[in-house]
Amino acid sequence: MKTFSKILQIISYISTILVVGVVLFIYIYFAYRSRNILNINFLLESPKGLVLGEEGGIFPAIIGSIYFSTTAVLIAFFPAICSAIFIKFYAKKRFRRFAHTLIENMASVPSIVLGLFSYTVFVYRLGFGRSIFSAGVALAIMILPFLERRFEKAFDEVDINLINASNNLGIHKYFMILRLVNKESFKEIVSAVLLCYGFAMGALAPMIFTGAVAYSAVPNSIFNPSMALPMHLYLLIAQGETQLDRAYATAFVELMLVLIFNIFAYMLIYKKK
Amino acid sequence: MNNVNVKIENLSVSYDDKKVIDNINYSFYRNEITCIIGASGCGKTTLLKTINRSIEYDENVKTSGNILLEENGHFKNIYDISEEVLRKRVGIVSQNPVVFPFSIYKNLLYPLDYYTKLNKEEKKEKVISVLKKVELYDEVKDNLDKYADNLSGGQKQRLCIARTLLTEPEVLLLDEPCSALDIKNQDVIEKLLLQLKNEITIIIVTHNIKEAEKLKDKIIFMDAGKIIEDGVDIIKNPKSVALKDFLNY
Repeated sequence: MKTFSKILQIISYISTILVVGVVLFIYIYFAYRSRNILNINFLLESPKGLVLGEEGGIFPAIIGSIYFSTTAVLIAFFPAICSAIFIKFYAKKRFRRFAHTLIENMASVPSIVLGLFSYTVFVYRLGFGRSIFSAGVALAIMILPFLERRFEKAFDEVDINLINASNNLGIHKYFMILRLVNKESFKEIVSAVLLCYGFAMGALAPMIFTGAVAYSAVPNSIFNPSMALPMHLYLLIAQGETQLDRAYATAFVELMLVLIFNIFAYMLIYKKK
Repeated sequence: MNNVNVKIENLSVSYDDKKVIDNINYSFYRNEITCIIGASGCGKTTLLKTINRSIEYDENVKTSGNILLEENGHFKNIYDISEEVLRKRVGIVSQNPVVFPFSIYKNLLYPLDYYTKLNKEEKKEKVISVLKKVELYDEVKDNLDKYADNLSGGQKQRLCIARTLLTEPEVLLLDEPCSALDIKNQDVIEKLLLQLKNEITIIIVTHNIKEAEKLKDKIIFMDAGKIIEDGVDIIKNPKSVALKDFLNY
């Protein structure tokens, strides 16, 4: 038993090093491959060149990606938190099980299918055209099940004794959720939003047909299409070996964006604590 | 008969399929302290929690029978009252005090903010008055904005009682409120309960026979989900074998 425990410990240790190592390697390798490309002009200029992106920068794609992800999170947040509250605090056991099955199935729908849905409904039927909004809806549907389950998990972690103590006072659940659960699960909720923000920022399939374009200026409305980092990255890679370093630089910027958002959010969380 | 506040009729409770309360009939009177005693697992806490339906936090519980609560001279079945209203009228304090992860002051504001529309000053007055009532004010008056979790067990228990009192219950249920407390804190809480009985009906589950003797207007002895004996002097004059065994006669 002791040997088994030791082996398990060693495997866990190696796995942790591997996971951390892979992440660090990705950051370092991407930074290394981007070293000749990354500069202030690359960040602040629009893409140029005969083959789009071989010169200039990625500024519209950075702003576009932020728009896409923010729209997606804003659209998904409200239904996700409301359904998590309903399922956790109001639903009966049988409905809870049924809802979980549906939500988990929804999570496994390929994201291109969600893009197709948004393309049909929002781009065509409702006439929003290819826009940040249409793509935002597709991305929101993609992150919705993940966000909902993470919110539920956040609520699960609130001490049941606190919930019962509040119920014992005859206080309605909505008040308890606003005052007590919200405070207790705030950190987890922010972390879930951020995780999904990053997830939306990296997704390409749902926005290909719905809102991302090869070139546009910085959009001035969410009802315009926009460039996005994953789309730009895809187009650069599609051009072959010649644009690979630019592709790495674009990917590195995307990684850093997600990292900055995470750091910013954690600072907010700890400030609040 | 007019003083009956809570009337239990043919009450049975089971967890999954195991019967924990078996066809109980009993009436609790206004302005009395009724102490429920009995061995562990005899169903006393279940009976207590059934009275304000906090037993239903467990989805596997099934109840049958009626619990009637007096309202303007009439009795109303608790299952016809919303759970929130019922729990405001019938407050419960559990064995292990659970303070909210806020300051002492905010713990007490929690029910006040929900139930009242008082202004800041009026709320403060209420908080101070209830803290004085549970004899906690002098101990915490300089630390009202400090985290309630830092209080001692006895202080937490008194804070929880104060928080429940702010909902102005008609009936107060207490599940072994002094079991983890030192003698000083026990005395404070017992003194408080004796004062409170002038305003409300108190039902208390306890293992402590001395405490039951000190507080009681009536004592109920339970065994295997049934009320075996009840009365004023059942500890001095036990009749049933079960109670004699329990008291080690």
